[in-house]
Amino acid sequence: MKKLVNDENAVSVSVGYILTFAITALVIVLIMGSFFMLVEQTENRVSYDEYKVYANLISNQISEMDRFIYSIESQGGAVNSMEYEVKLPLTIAGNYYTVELCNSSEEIIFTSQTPTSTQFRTPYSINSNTEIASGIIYVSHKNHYLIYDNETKMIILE
Amino acid sequence: MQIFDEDGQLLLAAAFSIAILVLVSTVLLNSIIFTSNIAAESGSDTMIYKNNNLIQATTNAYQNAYEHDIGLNQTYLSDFESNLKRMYAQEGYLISTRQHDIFTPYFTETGMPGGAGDWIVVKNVKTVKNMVFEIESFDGTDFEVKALDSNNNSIWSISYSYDGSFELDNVDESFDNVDEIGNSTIRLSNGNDPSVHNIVIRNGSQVTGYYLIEGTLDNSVEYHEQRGKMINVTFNINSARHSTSTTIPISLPFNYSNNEA
Amino acid sequence: MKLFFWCNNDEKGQMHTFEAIVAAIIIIGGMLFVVQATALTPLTSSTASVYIETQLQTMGQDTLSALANSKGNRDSDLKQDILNWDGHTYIWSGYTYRSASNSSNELDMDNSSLASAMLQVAVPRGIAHNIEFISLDQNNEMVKKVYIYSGDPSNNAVTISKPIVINESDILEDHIEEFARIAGIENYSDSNYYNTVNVRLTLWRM
Repeated sequence: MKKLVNDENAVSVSVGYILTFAITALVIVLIMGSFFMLVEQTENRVSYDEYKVYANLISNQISEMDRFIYSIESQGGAVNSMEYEVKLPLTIAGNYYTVELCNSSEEIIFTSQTPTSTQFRTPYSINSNTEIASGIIYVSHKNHYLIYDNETKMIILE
Repeated sequence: MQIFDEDGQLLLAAAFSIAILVLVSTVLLNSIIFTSNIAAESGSDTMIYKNNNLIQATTNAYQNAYEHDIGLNQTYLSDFESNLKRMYAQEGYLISTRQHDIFTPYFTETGMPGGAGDWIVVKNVKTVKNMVFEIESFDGTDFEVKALDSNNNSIWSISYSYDGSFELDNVDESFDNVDEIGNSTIRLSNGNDPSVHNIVIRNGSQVTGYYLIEGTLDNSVEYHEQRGKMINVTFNINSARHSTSTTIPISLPFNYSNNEA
Repeated sequence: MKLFFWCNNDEKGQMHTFEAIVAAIIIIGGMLFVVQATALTPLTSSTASVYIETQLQTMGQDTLSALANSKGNRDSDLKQDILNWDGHTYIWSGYTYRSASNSSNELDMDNSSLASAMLQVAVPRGIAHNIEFISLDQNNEMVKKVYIYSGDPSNNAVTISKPIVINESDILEDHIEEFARIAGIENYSDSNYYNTVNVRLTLWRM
């Protein structure tokens, strides 16, 4: 039988084990918690940078389409149809996202579909008679196109 | 104090597992976050340049293929197009062109009815060697061709009125030879006005016809502005990622003799 | 002491062994996983090269467009360069273009608007350039003739091309066969259409 009086242990064996596990569990939770918070911060930062790159890509393509339409129309010609493929990745920084073209504020808006969503807005500029049709696309596996419609003189993102 | 060695085994294994767990989850999350950065397609898109090159080369070809007595030489055009198709196919583009009817242009800036009716044909003219205007149809308002100096004062002017005749203002003094042929054609040559001027057209959007003006500019460069008949051509370019279809009016060379081809 | 007693008379080293093996496996597995993982940093190198490429592309397009502009009734500068070409490949030697086959043969700047344009635009900025004339022969095979050569392009090279239409009436009457032989551009058809030459300009920063 274990000594009761001359026992040099601080706690008994079972309490020792419980303490060990409790401390371990606490340490794990603390480490993982701070770790994931750090990761989420980085995620937001990276999402923002990536959205910037893709939004500028779309803005550039819209400008090029617009310049082309303008130059053709100023010669007396007409653009019958125009389709540009826009390559967008399925997820950015691990999250799904949407792309919205807003006609009223003339902006391209990228929004991530997470509880703490990050958003990035950039303006586009159109000089000719064409306009952009407002709309949201949910990025999926199918190809996305910027389509110019001659009837309505609008550029649509689908 | 006693040291119980066997307690340390479980603790050690647990510590290792925790460390590995943390490491693995870091790496996993890193990969998820950063590897979806697809290198954006190299910015500038060549589709517009390709389209413009196609339009420029085809315009050239149509102008070269136009022979005044027979119209467009279709052999020339089909050889040209099959050559160009193969050339573009090597770069991954499918092109096709389609002709529409030849028509008589308006005296607007673009030749189409919607173009600007008041426009400058040639700027900074020093001398006019030859000038020919042929009116095909006339509908309404006063059509004028005139020379304006730097203060926008008229040096000479030719106007065509409803009753079908030319009215000349200071033209006989400014040109050595003035010929009116029928009621619709006027030819002038050897302009002798020394001041630098712009040749402008006014109210050209309801008159159709052809013109030719050639001479020297203020900086001693020669100019040849001309517009004979015009034709609408539709261009189609398709690549893996883009497709465009445009219709452009192409102006064909001016015919000195008879433009009824 | 108890410690040494355990070590000396330990018949049940299984736990020790087991622990050591598991620890080793865990460490090695972790290392392997880390090594196999993909990049830990964003791929930002692509954006820098995109900027350079866009700049070169714009510069090249504008240069070729300006040279291909036909003024009035005359042939454009680019067309005249093709018609006046003597068939030799020229290499940039630091201050002038020398023929590859005969190094004392220099390219006449008055005869070549492409060379003088490159001299003004590309050489002062340290941009290397290759110019090739590409056309189809009568069997519909691609024929490539090198006009100006500066070496093999780097990774960030851009190519700009411009098609130029040549008619039989542009070439002197008796010289059509000679032109085909010298320039390597054949007569594609029986009509007035001679051939379409694709002028291909490759630019890259040295």
